[in-house]
Amino acid sequence: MENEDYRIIKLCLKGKTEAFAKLVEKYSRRVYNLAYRMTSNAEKSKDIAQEAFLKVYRSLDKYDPKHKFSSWLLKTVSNLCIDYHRSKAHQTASLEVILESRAESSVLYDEAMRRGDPQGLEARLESKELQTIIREGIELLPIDYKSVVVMRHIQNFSYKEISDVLNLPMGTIKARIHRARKLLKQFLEGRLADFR
Amino acid sequence: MNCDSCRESFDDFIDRELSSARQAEFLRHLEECARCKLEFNLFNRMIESMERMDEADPPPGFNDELVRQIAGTRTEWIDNPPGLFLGRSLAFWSWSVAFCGAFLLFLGTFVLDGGAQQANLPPVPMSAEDKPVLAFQDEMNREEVSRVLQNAKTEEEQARLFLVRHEGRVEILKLGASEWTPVEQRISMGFGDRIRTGEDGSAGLEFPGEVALRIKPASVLQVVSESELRLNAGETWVMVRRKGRAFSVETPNAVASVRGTKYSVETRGVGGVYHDALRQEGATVAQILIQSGDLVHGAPRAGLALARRFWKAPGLEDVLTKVQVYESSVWVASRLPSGEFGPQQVLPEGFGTEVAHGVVAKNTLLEERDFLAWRRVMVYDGSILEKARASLQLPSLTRPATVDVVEPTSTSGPGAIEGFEDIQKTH
Repeated sequence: MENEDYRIIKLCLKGKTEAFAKLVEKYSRRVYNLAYRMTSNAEKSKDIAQEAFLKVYRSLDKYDPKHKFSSWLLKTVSNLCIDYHRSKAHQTASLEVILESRAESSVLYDEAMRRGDPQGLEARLESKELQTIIREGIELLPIDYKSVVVMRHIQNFSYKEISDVLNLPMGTIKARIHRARKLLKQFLEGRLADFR
Repeated sequence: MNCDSCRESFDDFIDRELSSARQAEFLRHLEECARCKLEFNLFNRMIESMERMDEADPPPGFNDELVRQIAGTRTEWIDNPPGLFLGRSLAFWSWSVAFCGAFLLFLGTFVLDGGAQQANLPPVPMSAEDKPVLAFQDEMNREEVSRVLQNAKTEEEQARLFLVRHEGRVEILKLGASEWTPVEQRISMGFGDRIRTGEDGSAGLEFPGEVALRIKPASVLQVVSESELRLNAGETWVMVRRKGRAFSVETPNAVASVRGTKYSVETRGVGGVYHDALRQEGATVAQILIQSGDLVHGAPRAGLALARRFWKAPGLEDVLTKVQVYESSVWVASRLPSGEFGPQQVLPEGFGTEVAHGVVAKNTLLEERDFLAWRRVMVYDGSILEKARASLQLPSLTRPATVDVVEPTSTSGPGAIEGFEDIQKTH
């Protein structure tokens, strides 16, 4: 895979720039999805995806074959998303703030145990509404947590790949993922507890 | 392990970073503590739900628009090409030119063709060869995985298929052995090994952390490789745990393969209680239901969507097979009376098709290896289908057509399923 990408890049650098189309075809979906998951905005995702490809294309001569092209491309996407996030005026509170002000979410389990109805909760966990709630939660995550969770659990990057893309040590990545999961879990519990 | 440390272990368990000892403790605690179990289930479901989220498509024309933009973009390295080939030998130049030519040819073709299209496969003639295939991915039962890993001696063993649970009559035939022997707990199966269950038997198998299978009564399963199993008779539920890990299940009558989705594949052999049921209830069409996506409400935790097939006894021609798609898309190729297969088509969600001589169905493009020898088909009991439908809460299917009941000629010989008839006799 990597060799194929590098070969295409070499072709481009030799003047056959139309070969870049192959890279677009190969990665556009993944790039778009990462941007979409991180910005929750289809229009913005399209812009970011385009910009990422263009940026990479303009710096093609600086590509270091020691690293995977995909990592470089996705890192560009990720940085653009983070920039966008930081530049946006945030009116909505982030998940951390919402959860701190919420009551203890263990209420959900205590209720289920007391009612003697863990199956009821299980059933709700199997329903489609779960994914909707989770999407909402992901959207509310602070960008640093959102990026790692999206990459790990939605795009199925390995920890190593995430570390490459975000240029952060693995330890940091893991810590962020753990925190992100915890936040999402609390959010989920809170929402499920609201439905009686 | 107490509740606090249990909760603290959630992350490590999901990331498979707990030692076997800690895993065992963890799972034991979950067994004993209903509250922690509940909490862990929520956590687990949350992760799974994310892993199953669909990818969004970029807006239409995105690629083309981008390529156009790029074509019009000037860059520093275009204006000042890096001196890659200055001073290179002529030989190198020739090589690279040839390579470019070949590559561009490919690229040209690619651009002209545009997006993906269905390939029309040449008809594959039927062969009588027995080819084991089939792999499922099954949803992992954490408890079983832990127990298995606890006892796995080596890294290599961990990559094998382990028996984690069995009830009733379950026997194994190791590759090269001449006799079936009763299984023992945590026995491991490698390539070529077979396992079978009696009428009262059932078994749970796992590639720890990857795939889980539930083998139903009166089934025979053969291990081919890490991602291929063959179901010679009966029914197996399979769930793929990890997205992207492909598994295919092959039965002599059809192939179902899936990538990170859930389904079950069923084959019924001639003889035994199934035949009796058929004689009483009457024969109906067999249906292949291929479903992907979330667990359906009401299905067992480790259960799956199902794919059913039926077997046709030798000589019976007018039995219908129906493929009904409930989610996503399915590629199907129907078998022609000549024994070859017609071109494959895509069935989108909600669509179905009925064929007379059998079908191959898969939720990605069919490949040559998916076309198998058509060996036996049996008329199928409609009541089993009803039960399955109820448990899965599937939308109501069209009323199946009725055909004549099949009379098996014998319980051994060409019509019988290997391994199946012996269980029947000893019952």
